[in-house]
Amino acid sequence: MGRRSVRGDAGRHTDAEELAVYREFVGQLTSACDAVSRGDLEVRSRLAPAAEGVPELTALHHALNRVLDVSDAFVRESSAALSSAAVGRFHRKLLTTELLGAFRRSAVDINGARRAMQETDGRVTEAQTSRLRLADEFESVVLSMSEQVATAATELSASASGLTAAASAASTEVGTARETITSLTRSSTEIKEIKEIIALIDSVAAQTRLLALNATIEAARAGRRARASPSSPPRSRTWPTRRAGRPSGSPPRWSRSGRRRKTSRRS
Amino acid sequence: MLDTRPAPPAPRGTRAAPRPTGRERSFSADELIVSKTDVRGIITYANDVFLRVSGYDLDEVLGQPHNMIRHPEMPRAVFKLLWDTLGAGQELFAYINNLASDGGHYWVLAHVTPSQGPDGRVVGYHSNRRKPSAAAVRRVQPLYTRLLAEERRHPSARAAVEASSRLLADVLAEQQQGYDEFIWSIINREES
Repeated sequence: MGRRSVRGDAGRHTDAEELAVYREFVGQLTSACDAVSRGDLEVRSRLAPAAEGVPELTALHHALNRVLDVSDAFVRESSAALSSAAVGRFHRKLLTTELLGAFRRSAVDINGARRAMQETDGRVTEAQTSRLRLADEFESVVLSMSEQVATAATELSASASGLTAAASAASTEVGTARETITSLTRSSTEIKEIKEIIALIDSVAAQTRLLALNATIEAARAGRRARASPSSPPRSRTWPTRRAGRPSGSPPRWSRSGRRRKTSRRS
Repeated sequence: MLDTRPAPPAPRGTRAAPRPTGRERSFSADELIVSKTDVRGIITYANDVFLRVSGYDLDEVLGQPHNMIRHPEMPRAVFKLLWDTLGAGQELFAYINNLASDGGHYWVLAHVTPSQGPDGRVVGYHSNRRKPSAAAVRRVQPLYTRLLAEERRHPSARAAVEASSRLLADVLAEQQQGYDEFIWSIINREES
């Protein structure tokens, strides 16, 4: 290889010197790319003075730095746009003015996501407002109900006092009733005995009427015999008795009177 | 490889601050202007779009404070808000007018975020800028003009930024919104 110019008219370098310039440039470019691949977007290609006269190296230097500049800007701004949207600053959109190709498409997508977040936030805000309004209405209703409940409680308290008095009176009445019932229960025994006595009296009356009838009949017969034959003796008769339906508690009296009547009749 | 996390190399020389010419520079809507700084705001990386639009060589920006591209007509209150927000670990979007090396200017919609190391510690800051819509720039310009006018009433930079920051807070309070809602109301309406 012969000699060639790498710095215009300023000087001429051997192929070995030109190779050294290229190697140095490739080395710094490789270092920059390695750093960027690790996420360090602060690095940039730096053009050594010896490489400034090489148009291809200068073009590559600027091309790489443009890649890094637009990547750096995109990372900073997309991050800021989404961070702003995350805290409700939806007016901060991602500017697409200088972005081309995939960068612009991504920026448009991010702005679309930002708008969606804004709409969602709007709906959430609206829902929250609605909930607050409902809460206010609920509070109002609760307050109104509380007043009504308080009023009702007062009335209930008064009613309870009345009921207490009524209950006390009722208790007294119950006591009275209980006494009455006790008394009535006691009286029923007497009533039962009275009924038995009435039945006994009724029975006695019936038998008395029979006795009277028999006596009348016997008297009539005696009169007829006396008129026909005064020496004939009177015929013995069995007195009818009414034992059916006789109260069980009265036999002694009935037996006694029966015997008394028999005795008196025989005597 | 350029590792943006360690301290930047010493500056190789600086230009005198350019005088604004009023001429607007521009870039494509599908391009990103990207730069990184350390925790002190010293530039550790600038991409090719940054260099082309600002008109600087890489050697001229590495190791320089990021405010080397600050346009004098940008209110300081916006940058105070930027650093306060980053200090709280938050991102910030802002319409910013930058000054190119030739005195031209270019408006950007900047997104600035803290950069974290593997252990989660903040190791620097990252900014990518998009081409803003002209309508969005027209909407923020009246506010920036008010803030700038307030700053120019005060002799010291400290008093100026305090006064314009209070004014910014008052304006946002009048609109019953925070800065985040304010800037996104413009972005969502004016940017495609």
